[in-house]
Formats: sequence, structure tokens, C-alpha cells
Amino acid sequence: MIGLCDCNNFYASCEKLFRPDLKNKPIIILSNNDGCVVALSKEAKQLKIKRGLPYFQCKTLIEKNGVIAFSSNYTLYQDISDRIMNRLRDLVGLITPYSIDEAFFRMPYYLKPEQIRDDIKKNIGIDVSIGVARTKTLAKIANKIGKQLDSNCLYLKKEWESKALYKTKVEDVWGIGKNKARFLKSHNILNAYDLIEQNELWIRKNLSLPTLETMKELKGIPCINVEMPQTKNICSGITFSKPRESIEELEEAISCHCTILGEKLIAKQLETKTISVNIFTNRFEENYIAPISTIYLKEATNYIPNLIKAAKTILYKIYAKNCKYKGCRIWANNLTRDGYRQLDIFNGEKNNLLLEKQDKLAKVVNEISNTYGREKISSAATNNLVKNDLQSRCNLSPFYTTRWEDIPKVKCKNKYIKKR
Amino acid sequence: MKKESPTILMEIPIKCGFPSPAADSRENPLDFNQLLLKHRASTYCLKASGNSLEKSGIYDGDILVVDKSINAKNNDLVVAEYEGEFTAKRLKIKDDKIYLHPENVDFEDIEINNLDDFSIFGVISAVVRTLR
Repeated sequence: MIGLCDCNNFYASCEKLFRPDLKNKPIIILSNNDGCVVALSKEAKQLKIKRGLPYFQCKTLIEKNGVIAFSSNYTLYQDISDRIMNRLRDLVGLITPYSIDEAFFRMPYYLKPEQIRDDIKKNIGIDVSIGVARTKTLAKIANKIGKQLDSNCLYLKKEWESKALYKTKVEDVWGIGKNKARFLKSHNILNAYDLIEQNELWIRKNLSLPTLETMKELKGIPCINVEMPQTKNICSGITFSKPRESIEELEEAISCHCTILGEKLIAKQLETKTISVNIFTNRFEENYIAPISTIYLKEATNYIPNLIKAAKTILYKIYAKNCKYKGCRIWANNLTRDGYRQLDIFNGEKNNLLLEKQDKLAKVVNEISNTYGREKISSAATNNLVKNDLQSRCNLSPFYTTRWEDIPKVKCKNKYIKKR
Repeated sequence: MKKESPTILMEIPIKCGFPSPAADSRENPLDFNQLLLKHRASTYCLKASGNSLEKSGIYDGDILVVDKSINAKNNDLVVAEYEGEFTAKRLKIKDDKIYLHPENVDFEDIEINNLDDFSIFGVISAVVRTLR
């Protein structure tokens, strides 16, 4: 049987871990630059605040109910995630992390889902839900149903599967996106049970092979192998706190986000073959523009200076004067695993030396930012922006678990009843 | 092609000298993590603020190594969540009742009646203090 461990309201739980005063209080987490709501605690969900809502739109609701808003502290979330994954590994052996707060594993016969739930809660301090079923897609469904139970756990036996499928809307099935769901609904396929009733050939013909695999998984035939999520593209971007007009200001923003993008690529051991840059003005104003262009790199890379160089080339191509730019985005598409790069065949030897040099530099930079904090070293092209934009993350919680100066405080004071 | 450099066919280091008699006895140097971080995933570091635990050797500003994997038992020093804040106290368990025991004789034990407002965050397994 396959198990799926999924953390409950993960970002909010991390923020509450070192804040006993926030127990049972509604909190929300805002996106980079505090633009919109990305995560909520259970209590905030009950107030009908929704994920994705712009911050200013729910500000009155927030103030009226005393909701506490945090800027996203990914450093903290990643550390807690690593702890959970490590603990889970100790418990069940091999695991396949699927996202920052989810991992698949083979359910050991000697464990009950409740034991895993309790162990993670005790050892790390985070609530998790466990779904167990015959395949990964079914485990996802089990987990989702389990979340609604008091136990937060569901061991989905074979004989209960059809009932569970019947209760699961087709758009909630793992692997069925918005477009596929719309198509299926137009053919009166409304829930997961309807889906497995279909003819396999019809699915293969009208949808795709992955949908057929999803369907087989729902029938209890394991065929999806999640070895690490296949990252198709990685994006980094920002909405500016104030509109920017000059190309220098944009260059700075682009460079900064190339750095973040590069860090993401390195962390995932990926390299990119293409870079796309998009700058945009306010969508609700007149003369809205959002030019975008893509560059193909000679060789796949995750070397930050190369990314910046490529991105700047694009920027010069798409930049138009006298526009108030609201934000920028950078994508890396066409990803490959690093170390498997295909070298430029015309520049073999010389290139190898250069690549070696770049690898060394990247390693040193990485070590410095790991030891002294991320903003201590960066490409000269990014100078002011990092600081400016960090300031707009005004509700950022401390880096409780990764910086000595930020560790949480414990009161050692006697404030209770004095003896008479 | 330049002609000066001789062609190297193969590089073979030539061994000479007497091998170190201690080479087989080498061990890893002392590692503080081994001493302080028995369960890495479930250990958090917190900072003591206040001097109520001086009798137990915990001073203001000390770093408390808190291991959540340890089951708290009678007489353990623990970090507890009590009335909405973290507090460090000695845990006493008498006749199935839980008390937080202040080290200072002028203060009374606090009996925990309401478990909604109390939970043990973790057991203090080590204290770290640097002197300069």
C-alpha cells in the first residue's frame, strides 16, 4: 500500500510553532512582497478568507477579526520541511518528497497511519494527514478525505474505493487539470467514479496518455512513478511596490530574480536551456503592455552570471520607454539535470576549463550565502533591489531555526503565586 | 605544438619512507553535534531569558537544546507552552498530577489543571554557554 503524508496548513503551522500565543488564532501568510494571501491557518479559513486573494481586498476582514498576517518565510518552512522528511524517512524507509509539505512512501505493514501522524506531531510539532491506498492517485484521494476526519488519517481499503471515488469530483483528482476537467464535465463525467467507467480507448484518443495512467491508478493499478516531481519550468518574479520606468531599475529587478531563479535551479540540481523574460504594466490601466521574449542558450546552465547576461539581452529587446512597469517575471524552461549537460561540440577543451571555473565560483558563493545569510553576497548587478524588496516583507517572522540571533526565547521567570 | 615539454606517459607516485604506525588507529576528532544533537530532526534551540533556573545551572542568555523526541518524566527540565508563552521549568509528576516546579523556594509549585492551556514543547537535553 502507498502512503501519502501531507502537512495540515503547513506554512501557518510553521509560523505558529514558536508562537504559543497564536494557538487557535487566525493567521495568514502573504506572497513575496506581501501582494496576496498564499496560505491560511484553519481559523482563518473559517473566516472565509481565500487563498490567492489580494491583501488589500481582504484587509477589512483581516482587521475586523484580528487576523495576523505574516510575510512568507521560506527559510523557516524549508527547514521544518527537511525535518519532517528526515523523520518520515526514519519511520518508513524510502520516501519520495512531492512538494515542500507532501511525501509518498510505501506503508510498512507494522505501522498504522495514526502512529506516523502522532510521531511527526511529537517530534517536529507539525500536524500531518496520512492517506493510504493501493496507488498514489488513490492515496491522494484518501488523504483528502482523511483531512476531513477527526483522525486526519484514512486507510482506504479496496472495498471502500468506489465509494471514495464517487465522492471525489473529477477536478479534484490528482493529475486532472482545469482544462481536462472542463472537457470531462462536458461529457458528463463528473466524479472520479464516472472516469473509471469510461472506455480506455476513448480516454486515450480524446485526452492523453497521462490521463489514461490516472484512470488506471484510480482502478488500483499503480503506474505513476513519482521519482521527484518533473519540474517543467521554474519562475521567479515580483510585483513592484512602486512602478518602475527606467531600464536601469528594471535591469536591477531582472538581475535579482535571475539570482533567485539560479538558486532554485541549483537547489533542484537542474540547468536550463532557455530563458524567458516578461515585463508588464498595470493590467487595469490604459496602454497595458506585457512584452515577453525568449532566448535559447548555447548550453544548459544554472550559472547565475550567465542567466543575468541572457536575461538582460532580452530586456534590452523588449523594453519600451515611458511606461510604468508594474512587475517582471523570469522563466527557465527546457530543464535538464545538471551534470548531464550536452557540451558545445565546437569549443570542447576551452569550454571545459571555463565550466570548471564557473562551478568553483558558484560553489564558493553558495557556501558564503549558506554561512552568512543569502543577502551577504550577490551579483553586482542586483545591488539595491534585494534590500528594497526585503523591506516590503514587513511582517517577516524570525529565522527561528537557521540563525543563532533569531532563536526563540523562553521565559525563565517566576510570575506565579508567592508562598505566604 | 611546442616542443619543450616532455611527453608524460604515465604518472606513478613512488612510495618511500616508513608508513605511520598510527595510521590504523585514526579516529574522527570530537564532534559537538554527537554530544548535543542526538536527534537532529527533533531538536530545536531556544534562548533562556530570565534567571529563575539558576539553581539548575541555567542562566540568562544560555542556549537551551530542546529535544522533542524525549518523553518527559518526573524531574526533567522542560520547555512548556503555558498560558500562551514558552516557559522553562522543572517538571514534577506526583500521583498522576502535573506540577511546574520553580527552583526558587519563595514560590509555590504550579499545578496544571487545564490541559488546554498547557503542553510540553520538549525536554531540555543540554545547555550551551559560551564565555567569550
